[in-house]
Amino acid sequence: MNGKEIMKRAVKLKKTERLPVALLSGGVWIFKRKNMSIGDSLRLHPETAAEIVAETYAEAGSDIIWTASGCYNLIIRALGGKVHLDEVGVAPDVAEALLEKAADVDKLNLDRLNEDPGIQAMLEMTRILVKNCGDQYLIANNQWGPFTLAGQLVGTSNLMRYLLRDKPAIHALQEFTTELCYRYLKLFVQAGVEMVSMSEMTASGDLISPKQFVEFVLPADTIVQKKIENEVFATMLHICGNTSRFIGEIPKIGVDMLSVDSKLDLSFARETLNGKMAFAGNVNPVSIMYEKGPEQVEAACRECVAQAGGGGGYILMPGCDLPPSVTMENVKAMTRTAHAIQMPE
Amino acid sequence: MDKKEVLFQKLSDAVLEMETENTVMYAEEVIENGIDAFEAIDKGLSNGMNRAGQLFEEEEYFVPELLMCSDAMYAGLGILKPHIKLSTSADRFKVVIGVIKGDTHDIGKNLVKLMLETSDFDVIDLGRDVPPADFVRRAKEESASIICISTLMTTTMDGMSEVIHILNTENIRNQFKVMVGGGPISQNFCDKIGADGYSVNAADAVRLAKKLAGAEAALK
Repeated sequence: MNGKEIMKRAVKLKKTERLPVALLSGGVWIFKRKNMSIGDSLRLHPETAAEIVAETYAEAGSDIIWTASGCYNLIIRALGGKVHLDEVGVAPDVAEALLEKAADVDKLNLDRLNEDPGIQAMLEMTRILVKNCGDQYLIANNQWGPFTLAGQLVGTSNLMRYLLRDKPAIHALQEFTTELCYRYLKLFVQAGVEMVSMSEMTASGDLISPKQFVEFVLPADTIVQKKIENEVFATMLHICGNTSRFIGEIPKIGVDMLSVDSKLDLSFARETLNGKMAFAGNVNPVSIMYEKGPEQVEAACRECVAQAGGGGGYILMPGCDLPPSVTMENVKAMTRTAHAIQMPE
Repeated sequence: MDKKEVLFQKLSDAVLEMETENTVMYAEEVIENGIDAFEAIDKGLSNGMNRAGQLFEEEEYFVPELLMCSDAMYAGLGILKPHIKLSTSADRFKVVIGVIKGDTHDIGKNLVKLMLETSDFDVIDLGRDVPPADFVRRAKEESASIICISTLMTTTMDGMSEVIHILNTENIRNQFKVMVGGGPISQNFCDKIGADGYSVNAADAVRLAKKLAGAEAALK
């Protein structure tokens, strides 16, 4: 059974012969290793970019290859926003909020998504990856979820204020961002990816309350899920921060897998999700992957596995994207640990 | 309770309840009644913000509520600040603060800035998405005592060590205390990159800044 087959079984809660393992995103990390920014990667021939991505994930030992990871904010550029892309080892960021107020969302044109040359380059790279290694790895794409996208459009602080004083503004924004997120993911599904993921960093349990999560994030993520679920093999959701106060609500969204931050206790995740969905995590990307050496990484991974328990439906993964200076040695220590953990029937 | 104390309580409550208009109204009453503006900031506005911070720690309030409280507080500060007699800038410690390059999440940075300002620090806000070299350049230009760097993202935290690297390269590391904070940052990370201190939240950042400023003063 290769990595793809193992991952496909795990996502659907089936037992696997060994522990599945994957990176979460990693695009900035991959190209920093070549002394390249995300902007540089977009200017490469898609064949070359695909080769770098495939080689790095292969060396890392990840069962998932994320395409266009680190490129989330191209979606904002496609709509007319300004995005910084050219710092090596720095995740591309939105230079300033595209919208001054939520009502301006009506002026944005979703059709421009197809016109961004960076997105086109990433789609071509995806098609190449699917052709060259789609039989060995689960090829996946990720994008901000609709709540986080709303924050990227109006600024996160403004989004936070709308939560308390202008609920119609949030609804207007999310009506747009659910469709935006869906259309972006669909482009990559059409290019051949078998899993799509929404990352909701702004829905972090450290930022908003459980009530706000249920009122605003859950319905919007569910809309995207319902639209895309019949077009793709599997779906994933990543939420930053401590999600313990609302993790019990997440299965209602319908995604196959939840990637959890290192702030959550995996035994609590196992207990709460209780066979309703697969879950992945949560090796600390900073205090372990970045700060420690391979031996401590291996010990931390074993601790994660012990907390997550047996029984399938668990994938070893960092709790968030990798800091760009994490060593390959540490990433390999994580995947090597998983590869050594047999899970007999 | 005399009139002054009643007004301070109303100011504190208005901040806590996120009522910007009422905060402005009570701040104006403070001025109209000739009450000391600094005391009103301390016992009214700051008190309200501290209570909000307490509710945040108790998970009653989350970031949206804290932001609305800080909006109310800033509105009150706008009225009261022109009426306070600040200590001269020579006495006040200068802090250069910003969010590191690649990150535009500035809620935490703004809360720390607010708390430092109300604790009598002179804060120079570089904003967000700030290149490491700019922290150093501005800290030199302003003769700051403390450089305060924030990030929410794991993918941008390397820039913090770059600030320290530049300070070392220019042989001026001992002229500044460097504080780091934000979602993925830890005391271990702080120690690893050679920063002087890490704080877990805005209230803790004030305690740390005071401690570091004290050490700075002792050196001078």
